[in-house]
Amino acid sequence: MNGKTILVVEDDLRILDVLEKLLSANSYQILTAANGQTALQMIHSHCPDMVLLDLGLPKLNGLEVLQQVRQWYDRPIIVVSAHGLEKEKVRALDLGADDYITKPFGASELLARVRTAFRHHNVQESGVSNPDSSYSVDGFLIDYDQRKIFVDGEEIHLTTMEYNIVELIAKHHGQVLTYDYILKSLWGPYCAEDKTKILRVNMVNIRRKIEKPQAAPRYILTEIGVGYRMATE
Amino acid sequence: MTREKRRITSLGPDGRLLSNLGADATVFIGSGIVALLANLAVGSPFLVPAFMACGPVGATVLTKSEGHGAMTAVLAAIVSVWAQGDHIRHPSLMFLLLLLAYMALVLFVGGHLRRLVDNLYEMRKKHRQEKLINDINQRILTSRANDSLELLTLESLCELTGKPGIIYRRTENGIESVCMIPRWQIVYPTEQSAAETAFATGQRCGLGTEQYSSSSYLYIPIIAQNKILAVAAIRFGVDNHPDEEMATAIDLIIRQCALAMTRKDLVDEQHKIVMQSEKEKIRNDFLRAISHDLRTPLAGIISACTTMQESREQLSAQAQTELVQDIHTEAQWLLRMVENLLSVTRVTGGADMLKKSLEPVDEIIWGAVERIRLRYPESTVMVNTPEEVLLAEMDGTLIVQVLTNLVENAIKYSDSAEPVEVSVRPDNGFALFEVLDRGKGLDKETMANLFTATTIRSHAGGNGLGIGLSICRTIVEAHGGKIAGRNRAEGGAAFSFTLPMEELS
Repeated sequence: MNGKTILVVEDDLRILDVLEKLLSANSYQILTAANGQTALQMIHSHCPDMVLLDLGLPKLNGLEVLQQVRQWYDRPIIVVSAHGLEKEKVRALDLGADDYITKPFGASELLARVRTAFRHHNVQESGVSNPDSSYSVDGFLIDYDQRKIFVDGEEIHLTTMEYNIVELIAKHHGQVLTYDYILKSLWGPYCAEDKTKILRVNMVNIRRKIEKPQAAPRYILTEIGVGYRMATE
Repeated sequence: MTREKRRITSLGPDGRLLSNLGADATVFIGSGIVALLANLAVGSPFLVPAFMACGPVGATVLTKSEGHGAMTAVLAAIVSVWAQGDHIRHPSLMFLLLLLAYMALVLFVGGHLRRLVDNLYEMRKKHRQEKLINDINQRILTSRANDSLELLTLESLCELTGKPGIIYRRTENGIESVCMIPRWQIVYPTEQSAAETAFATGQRCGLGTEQYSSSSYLYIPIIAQNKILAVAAIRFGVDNHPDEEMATAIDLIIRQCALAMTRKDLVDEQHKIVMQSEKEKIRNDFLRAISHDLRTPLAGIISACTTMQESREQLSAQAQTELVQDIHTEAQWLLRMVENLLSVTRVTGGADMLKKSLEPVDEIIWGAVERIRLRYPESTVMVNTPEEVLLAEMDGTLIVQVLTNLVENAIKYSDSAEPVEVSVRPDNGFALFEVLDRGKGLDKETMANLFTATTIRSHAGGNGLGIGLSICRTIVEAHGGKIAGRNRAEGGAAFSFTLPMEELS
């Protein structure tokens, strides 16, 4: 993983400085761009392994950069956005961003997102020939072959719909999936908007079954207004 | 609109229809009585219908022109007497005398009747006008703030004169007609420029004045305190100048209207000032509270930083770590504070700033609990949700913030290590959220102004309760819910809020 190039697009020079220090310290090669225009040129000329893209950029905003670049650039893009701009995050994910991270973020959080994005990208690159047959985190285990779920060794009985939702999220563990993405993956691309309600209610039921009662969820995390994320170690 | 139309047409084209009918009837009856008297004297039965028939004819003409009326009355007398064939063939002196006396009588009675009718008509007209003006005054004076004074004035003028009219006001597009009776009149360029002239000069123009005298409208500026508020245009028609009485009445209405408009402007202005100062006060209180709350952690950060910069060598590794940790904690707190403030600007920016969608309340609670777990890993939060899945329309991030604030307060201020309970249940079409702790509860002073921005509970190491709660209230109320705080009977504080809920079908 080391030696990979990350283009950091950020107009706030102080944050850019910190990110550069942090990522360099973790053996990534860093390229920087302070506005959307430069970012586009850098992506074209250097083709970095990953882009860390701030959405609020001068000249050409992050969403526009994303839209233009996504037509040909297939490496991970992580979007950086401010708190409270959920619509913007959903839009970025729908436009093909791999993940997002909300400003301000902790160092470990950022590094975890970067690693997750690289891992998913590698899985995609290597093709579906050798997909994981199961995923486990913190006492939770999902066996894709048997279509079974275990929490602390005990099997949890889910409906088919519930299982499909969990499987989808588990296969993208660490990555946030928007409601829209989940709906389209499970019900097809022409799925009606009102299915959201069904998905949300299903999710409440899933979590009641798999999470510990009367406590914060550990496995499936809510990104309010955006979607769901399966926890990683 | 239909109301004033009906009133205007019922007056007839010149407002004299009713008085004509009255005069007719009076003269008709008068002639009848005279004819009856004559009949008694002459003894002919034909006289009665003849006179009765001639009466109205004479009367109709009488009301229009005095001379003709007299002539017709005399003619009527002669014709009706001539119809008495016998008397023509054998005229007697007695009959001729009677005829002359009768003619005189008709003229005399007719003249008097005419004057009587005229007086009656004048009196009634005056009375009606007075009543109308009174009504109009009443209406203008009692007009509510949101009534259109222009329309009211125009209605009154049209009712008084029985003529069509237009009111012009100054808008951002220049001088424009703001209301018309009847609607859909076309304003020709000359009329427009006449109205503009009235605005520019503050003088009447149009019909009967020096400027635009060929216009069929009379343009009257409505002026109060040297300010031209509007221009009323009344279409009297080219040959139809308003008489003196009408002019006085119009003046009266215009003056009343000017008064009412000024009063309305004053009331509006005053209202604005009151609102402004109220807003200012709230903002000042809020700013004062925020500044205080922001200063405390900033002071902590700055002192930690300077300590690190100036005496790093003397500090142990552990002390250094602790200082950095302090900076981190304070900065985190500041960030949450700013997030809270930002969400207030979102809520107070109007209902459409809320990004509402249907959310299961379970997820909202979990969202809040996840955030709390990140900030306070050692604390325990118990969650109680009902069997059925409750859904409510809300701006998810904001409600998570409310819950997070409440739970955070419970953890920080309760002085208790007991778990904080978060529960939700349906309550009469609302989702009722509760945050319960087992701490020392709220003292009287805190209870008194719990949700106002100025409350700051000064606790060792704690700050921001007041603003946090006032922000919670703003958010909850923007969603159409209510928030409350109380002490629990079994000890500890309880905060609850409601959100309108959708039943899951």
